[in-house]
Amino acid sequence: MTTDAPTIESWLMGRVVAYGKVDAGTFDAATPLADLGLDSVYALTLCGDIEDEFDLDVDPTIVWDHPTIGELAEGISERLAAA
Amino acid sequence: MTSGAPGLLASSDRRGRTFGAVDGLRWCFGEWMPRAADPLGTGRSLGPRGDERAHRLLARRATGRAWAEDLVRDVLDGAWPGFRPDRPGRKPALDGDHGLDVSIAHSGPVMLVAVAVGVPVGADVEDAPFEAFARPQLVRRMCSSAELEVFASVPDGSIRRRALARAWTVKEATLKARGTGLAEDPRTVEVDAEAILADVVSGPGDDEQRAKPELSIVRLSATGAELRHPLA
Repeated sequence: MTTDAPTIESWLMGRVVAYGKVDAGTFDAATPLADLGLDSVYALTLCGDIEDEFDLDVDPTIVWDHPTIGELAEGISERLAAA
Repeated sequence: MTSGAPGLLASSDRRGRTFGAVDGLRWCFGEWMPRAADPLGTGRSLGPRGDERAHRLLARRATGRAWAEDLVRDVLDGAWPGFRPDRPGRKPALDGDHGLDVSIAHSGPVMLVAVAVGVPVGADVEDAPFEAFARPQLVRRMCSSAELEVFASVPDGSIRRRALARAWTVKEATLKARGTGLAEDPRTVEVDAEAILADVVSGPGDDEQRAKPELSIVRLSATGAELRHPLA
Protein backbone atom coordinates (compact mmCIF):
# COMPACT_ATOMS: atom_id res chain seq x y z
CA MET A 1 0.00 0.00 0.00
CA THR A 2 1.28 3.45 -0.92
CA THR A 3 1.81 6.10 1.72
CA ASP A 4 3.22 8.86 -0.51
CA ALA A 5 1.13 12.01 -0.74
CA PRO A 6 1.17 12.45 -4.57
CA THR A 7 -0.25 8.96 -5.13
CA ILE A 8 -2.88 9.50 -2.44
CA GLU A 9 -3.69 12.87 -4.03
CA SER A 10 -4.31 11.21 -7.38
CA TRP A 11 -6.50 8.58 -5.75
CA LEU A 12 -8.52 11.28 -3.93
CA MET A 13 -9.09 13.18 -7.18
CA GLY A 14 -10.39 9.98 -8.71
CA ARG A 15 -12.81 9.49 -5.83
CA VAL A 16 -14.17 13.04 -6.11
CA VAL A 17 -14.83 12.51 -9.84
CA ALA A 18 -16.45 9.13 -9.09
CA TYR A 19 -18.95 10.86 -6.77
CA GLY A 20 -20.31 12.65 -9.85
CA LYS A 21 -20.09 16.17 -8.47
CA VAL A 22 -17.40 17.48 -10.81
CA ASP A 23 -15.68 16.52 -14.03
CA ALA A 24 -12.02 15.54 -14.18
CA GLY A 25 -9.83 18.41 -15.29
CA THR A 26 -12.05 21.11 -13.78
CA PHE A 27 -10.21 21.22 -10.45
CA ASP A 28 -6.79 20.63 -8.97
CA ALA A 29 -5.27 19.63 -5.65
CA ALA A 30 -5.48 23.21 -4.36
CA THR A 31 -9.24 23.56 -4.96
CA PRO A 32 -11.10 23.67 -1.64
CA LEU A 33 -13.18 20.53 -1.12
CA ALA A 34 -16.15 22.74 -0.21
CA ASP A 35 -15.95 24.29 -3.69
CA LEU A 36 -16.25 20.79 -5.16
CA GLY A 37 -19.66 20.29 -3.59
CA LEU A 38 -18.35 17.80 -1.05
CA ASP A 39 -21.34 17.75 1.31
CA SER A 40 -21.93 15.66 4.44
CA VAL A 41 -23.01 12.58 2.48
CA TYR A 42 -19.86 12.59 0.38
CA ALA A 43 -17.57 13.48 3.27
CA LEU A 44 -18.86 10.39 5.04
CA THR A 45 -18.55 8.29 1.88
CA LEU A 46 -14.98 9.47 1.47
CA CYS A 47 -14.22 8.34 5.04
CA GLY A 48 -15.53 4.88 4.12
CA ASP A 49 -13.44 4.86 0.94
CA ILE A 50 -10.29 5.89 2.85
CA GLU A 51 -11.01 3.12 5.34
CA ASP A 52 -11.29 0.55 2.51
CA GLU A 53 -8.29 1.78 0.53
CA PHE A 54 -5.81 2.48 3.33
CA ASP A 55 -7.23 0.53 6.29
CA LEU A 56 -7.33 3.86 8.12
CA ASP A 57 -10.21 4.92 10.35
CA VAL A 58 -10.84 8.67 9.93
CA ASP A 59 -13.59 11.03 11.06
CA PRO A 60 -15.42 13.27 8.56
CA THR A 61 -13.95 16.29 10.35
CA ILE A 62 -10.70 15.41 8.56
CA VAL A 63 -12.01 17.40 5.59
CA TRP A 64 -12.28 20.52 7.76
CA ASP A 65 -8.80 20.03 9.15
CA HIS A 66 -7.44 19.43 5.63
CA PRO A 67 -9.71 21.53 3.37
CA THR A 68 -8.07 20.78 0.00
CA ILE A 69 -7.26 17.52 -1.76
CA GLY A 70 -3.55 18.28 -1.48
CA GLU A 71 -3.74 18.93 2.25
CA LEU A 72 -5.97 15.89 2.79
CA ALA A 73 -3.47 13.70 0.91
CA GLU A 74 -0.68 15.01 3.14
CA GLY A 75 -2.77 14.34 6.24
CA ILE A 76 -3.54 10.76 5.21
CA SER A 77 0.10 10.17 4.28
CA GLU A 78 1.26 11.38 7.70
CA ARG A 79 -1.25 9.17 9.50
CA LEU A 80 -0.23 6.14 7.45
CA ALA A 81 3.45 6.79 8.11
CA ALA A 82 2.74 7.05 11.84
CA ALA A 83 0.64 3.88 11.93
CA MET B 1 -38.29 10.91 18.89
CA THR B 2 -41.90 11.86 18.31
CA SER B 3 -43.37 12.46 14.87
CA GLY B 4 -45.26 15.63 14.05
CA ALA B 5 -47.90 16.13 11.41
CA PRO B 6 -46.63 17.39 8.05
CA GLY B 7 -48.18 20.78 8.77
CA LEU B 8 -50.21 23.19 6.74
CA LEU B 9 -48.85 23.71 3.27
CA ALA B 10 -49.49 26.98 1.53
CA SER B 11 -49.72 27.07 -2.23
CA SER B 12 -46.47 27.76 -3.99
CA ASP B 13 -45.37 31.36 -4.43
CA ARG B 14 -44.20 32.86 -7.72
CA ARG B 15 -40.74 31.42 -7.14
CA GLY B 16 -42.18 27.93 -6.82
CA ARG B 17 -41.58 27.65 -3.11
CA THR B 18 -43.94 25.71 -0.88
CA PHE B 19 -44.42 27.00 2.66
CA GLY B 20 -45.37 25.10 5.78
CA ALA B 21 -46.08 26.10 9.36
CA VAL B 22 -47.05 24.66 12.70
CA ASP B 23 -46.89 26.35 16.07
CA GLY B 24 -43.38 27.77 16.51
CA LEU B 25 -41.99 26.34 13.29
CA ARG B 26 -41.96 27.55 9.71
CA TRP B 27 -40.26 26.18 6.67
CA CYS B 28 -40.10 26.56 2.94
CA PHE B 29 -39.07 24.11 0.29
CA GLY B 30 -38.45 24.40 -3.43
CA GLU B 31 -35.96 24.45 -6.27
CA TRP B 32 -33.31 27.12 -5.83
CA MET B 33 -31.92 26.28 -9.27
CA PRO B 34 -34.14 25.28 -12.20
CA ARG B 35 -33.92 21.61 -13.11
CA ALA B 36 -33.45 22.84 -16.67
CA ALA B 37 -29.89 23.65 -15.55
CA ASP B 38 -29.51 19.97 -14.81
CA PRO B 39 -30.05 18.31 -18.22
CA LEU B 40 -30.21 14.79 -16.87
CA GLY B 41 -32.92 15.84 -14.45
CA THR B 42 -31.30 13.71 -11.79
CA GLY B 43 -30.41 16.40 -9.29
CA ARG B 44 -26.75 15.69 -10.00
CA SER B 45 -24.35 18.38 -10.94
CA LEU B 46 -22.84 17.79 -14.34
CA GLY B 47 -19.47 18.90 -13.19
CA PRO B 48 -19.33 22.56 -14.14
CA ARG B 49 -15.97 24.19 -14.65
CA GLY B 50 -14.42 26.19 -11.86
CA ASP B 51 -15.90 29.64 -12.55
CA GLU B 52 -19.38 28.32 -13.13
CA ARG B 53 -19.09 26.11 -10.06
CA ALA B 54 -18.04 29.04 -7.86
CA HIS B 55 -20.88 31.17 -9.19
CA ARG B 56 -23.38 28.38 -8.51
CA LEU B 57 -22.15 27.91 -4.93
CA LEU B 58 -22.43 31.64 -4.24
CA ALA B 59 -25.93 31.72 -5.73
CA ARG B 60 -26.97 28.73 -3.62
CA ARG B 61 -25.68 30.34 -0.45
CA ALA B 62 -27.39 33.65 -1.24
CA THR B 63 -30.67 31.91 -2.04
CA GLY B 64 -30.66 29.90 1.19
CA ARG B 65 -30.06 33.01 3.23
CA ALA B 66 -32.71 34.97 1.34
CA TRP B 67 -35.28 32.24 1.99
CA ALA B 68 -34.30 32.20 5.67
CA GLU B 69 -34.72 35.98 5.79
CA ASP B 70 -38.24 35.68 4.34
CA LEU B 71 -39.22 33.20 7.08
CA VAL B 72 -37.60 35.21 9.87
CA ARG B 73 -39.24 38.46 8.78
CA ASP B 74 -42.56 36.64 8.79
CA VAL B 75 -42.00 35.53 12.40
CA LEU B 76 -40.57 38.89 13.59
CA ASP B 77 -43.22 41.07 11.91
CA GLY B 78 -40.83 42.36 9.27
CA ALA B 79 -37.68 42.71 11.38
CA TRP B 80 -34.44 41.18 10.11
CA PRO B 81 -31.56 40.75 12.60
CA GLY B 82 -29.07 39.48 10.03
CA PHE B 83 -26.68 36.55 10.27
CA ARG B 84 -23.70 36.26 12.57
CA PRO B 85 -20.29 35.87 10.90
CA ASP B 86 -19.66 32.40 9.46
CA ARG B 87 -18.32 29.70 11.75
CA PRO B 88 -16.59 26.92 9.78
CA GLY B 89 -18.36 23.60 10.12
CA ARG B 90 -21.32 25.16 11.98
CA LYS B 91 -24.77 26.02 10.73
CA PRO B 92 -25.69 29.67 10.10
CA ALA B 93 -26.80 31.57 13.21
CA LEU B 94 -28.91 34.71 13.48
CA ASP B 95 -27.65 37.82 15.21
CA GLY B 96 -29.46 39.25 18.23
CA ASP B 97 -31.44 37.78 21.10
CA HIS B 98 -34.83 36.88 19.62
CA GLY B 99 -34.75 33.14 20.30
CA LEU B 100 -34.96 32.01 16.69
CA ASP B 101 -32.92 29.19 15.19
CA VAL B 102 -32.40 28.63 11.46
CA SER B 103 -31.36 25.62 9.42
CA ILE B 104 -30.65 25.58 5.68
CA ALA B 105 -30.27 22.40 3.61
CA HIS B 106 -29.77 21.72 -0.07
CA SER B 107 -29.30 18.78 -2.39
CA GLY B 108 -28.86 19.23 -6.13
CA PRO B 109 -31.46 21.77 -7.23
CA VAL B 110 -33.69 21.51 -4.13
CA MET B 111 -33.52 23.49 -0.91
CA LEU B 112 -35.24 23.32 2.49
CA VAL B 113 -35.09 26.12 5.05
CA ALA B 114 -36.58 25.93 8.56
CA VAL B 115 -36.97 28.51 11.32
CA ALA B 116 -37.97 27.55 14.88
CA VAL B 117 -39.00 29.74 17.80
CA GLY B 118 -37.32 29.11 21.14
CA VAL B 119 -35.75 25.72 20.38
CA PRO B 120 -32.95 24.42 18.15
CA VAL B 121 -33.94 23.16 14.71
CA GLY B 122 -32.23 21.08 12.05
CA ALA B 123 -33.35 20.54 8.46
CA ASP B 124 -32.06 18.20 5.80
CA VAL B 125 -33.03 17.28 2.25
CA GLU B 126 -31.80 14.66 -0.21
CA ASP B 127 -32.86 14.81 -3.83
CA ALA B 128 -33.94 11.68 -5.72
CA PRO B 129 -32.75 9.24 -7.03
CA PHE B 130 -30.40 8.87 -4.02
CA GLU B 131 -27.52 7.24 -5.94
CA ALA B 132 -25.07 7.91 -3.11
CA PHE B 133 -27.01 5.54 -0.88
CA ALA B 134 -26.02 2.59 -3.05
CA ARG B 135 -22.46 2.93 -1.73
CA PRO B 136 -21.68 0.50 1.11
CA GLN B 137 -18.90 2.83 2.30
CA LEU B 138 -21.56 5.44 3.13
CA VAL B 139 -24.15 3.03 4.52
CA ARG B 140 -21.81 1.46 7.06
CA ARG B 141 -20.58 4.89 8.21
CA MET B 142 -24.12 6.26 8.74
CA CYS B 143 -25.99 3.28 10.22
CA SER B 144 -25.72 1.50 13.56
CA SER B 145 -25.32 -2.29 13.44
CA ALA B 146 -29.03 -2.72 14.25
CA GLU B 147 -30.01 -0.34 11.44
CA LEU B 148 -27.65 -2.12 9.02
CA GLU B 149 -29.40 -5.38 9.80
CA VAL B 150 -32.81 -3.90 8.94
CA PHE B 151 -31.69 -2.28 5.69
CA ALA B 152 -29.81 -5.44 4.67
CA SER B 153 -33.17 -7.23 4.57
CA VAL B 154 -33.93 -5.63 1.20
CA PRO B 155 -31.69 -5.67 -1.89
CA ASP B 156 -30.19 -2.50 -3.32
CA GLY B 157 -32.78 -0.68 -5.41
CA SER B 158 -35.07 2.34 -5.30
CA ILE B 159 -36.86 1.24 -2.10
CA ARG B 160 -33.69 0.60 -0.13
CA ARG B 161 -32.04 3.79 -1.36
CA ARG B 162 -35.07 5.92 -0.45
CA ALA B 163 -35.28 4.34 3.00
CA LEU B 164 -31.59 4.99 3.58
CA ALA B 165 -31.93 8.56 2.29
CA ARG B 166 -34.83 9.17 4.69
CA ALA B 167 -32.83 7.71 7.58
CA TRP B 168 -29.92 9.94 6.64
CA THR B 169 -32.04 13.11 6.56
CA VAL B 170 -33.31 12.30 10.06
CA LYS B 171 -29.78 11.77 11.34
CA GLU B 172 -28.38 14.86 9.61
CA ALA B 173 -31.29 17.07 10.75
CA THR B 174 -30.77 15.82 14.31
CA LEU B 175 -27.05 16.59 14.21
CA LYS B 176 -27.78 20.05 12.81
CA ALA B 177 -30.33 20.71 15.55
CA ARG B 178 -27.78 19.64 18.16
CA GLY B 179 -25.27 21.96 16.54
CA THR B 180 -22.68 19.22 16.26
CA GLY B 181 -22.88 18.25 12.59
CA LEU B 182 -20.47 15.53 11.55
CA ALA B 183 -18.28 16.17 14.60
CA GLU B 184 -20.75 13.68 16.14
CA ASP B 185 -20.84 10.16 14.68
CA PRO B 186 -24.15 9.73 12.78
CA ARG B 187 -24.15 6.01 13.69
CA THR B 188 -24.99 7.10 17.25
CA VAL B 189 -28.17 8.92 16.17
CA GLU B 190 -30.82 6.23 16.33
CA VAL B 191 -33.64 6.09 13.80
CA ASP B 192 -36.56 3.68 13.57
CA ALA B 193 -35.21 1.82 10.55
CA GLU B 194 -38.05 -0.72 10.53
CA ALA B 195 -40.72 2.00 10.48
CA ILE B 196 -38.91 3.94 7.76
CA LEU B 197 -38.54 0.86 5.59
CA ALA B 198 -42.15 -0.19 6.12
CA ASP B 199 -43.37 3.29 5.20
CA VAL B 200 -41.29 3.39 2.02
CA VAL B 201 -42.42 -0.11 1.02
CA SER B 202 -46.08 0.84 1.51
CA GLY B 203 -45.73 3.98 -0.65
CA PRO B 204 -47.34 4.19 -4.10
CA GLY B 205 -44.07 3.49 -5.92
CA ASP B 206 -45.18 5.44 -9.00
CA ASP B 207 -43.04 7.85 -11.01
CA GLU B 208 -44.27 10.87 -9.03
CA GLN B 209 -43.35 9.20 -5.76
CA ARG B 210 -39.96 8.09 -7.09
CA ALA B 211 -39.09 11.67 -8.06
CA LYS B 212 -39.86 13.12 -4.61
CA PRO B 213 -36.97 14.27 -2.48
CA GLU B 214 -36.67 13.23 1.16
CA LEU B 215 -37.07 16.02 3.71
CA SER B 216 -36.72 15.98 7.49
CA ILE B 217 -37.02 18.69 10.12
CA VAL B 218 -36.07 17.99 13.74
CA ARG B 219 -36.92 20.28 16.65
CA LEU B 220 -35.28 19.74 20.01
CA SER B 221 -36.91 20.68 23.28
CA ALA B 222 -36.74 19.78 26.96
CA THR B 223 -39.23 17.00 26.31
CA GLY B 224 -37.24 15.44 23.47
CA ALA B 225 -36.91 15.56 19.71
CA GLU B 226 -39.80 16.11 17.33
CA LEU B 227 -39.46 14.84 13.78
CA ARG B 228 -41.40 16.05 10.79
CA HIS B 229 -41.35 14.99 7.14
CA PRO B 230 -42.91 17.94 5.26
CA LEU B 231 -43.67 15.96 2.09
CA ALA B 232 -45.11 12.92 3.89
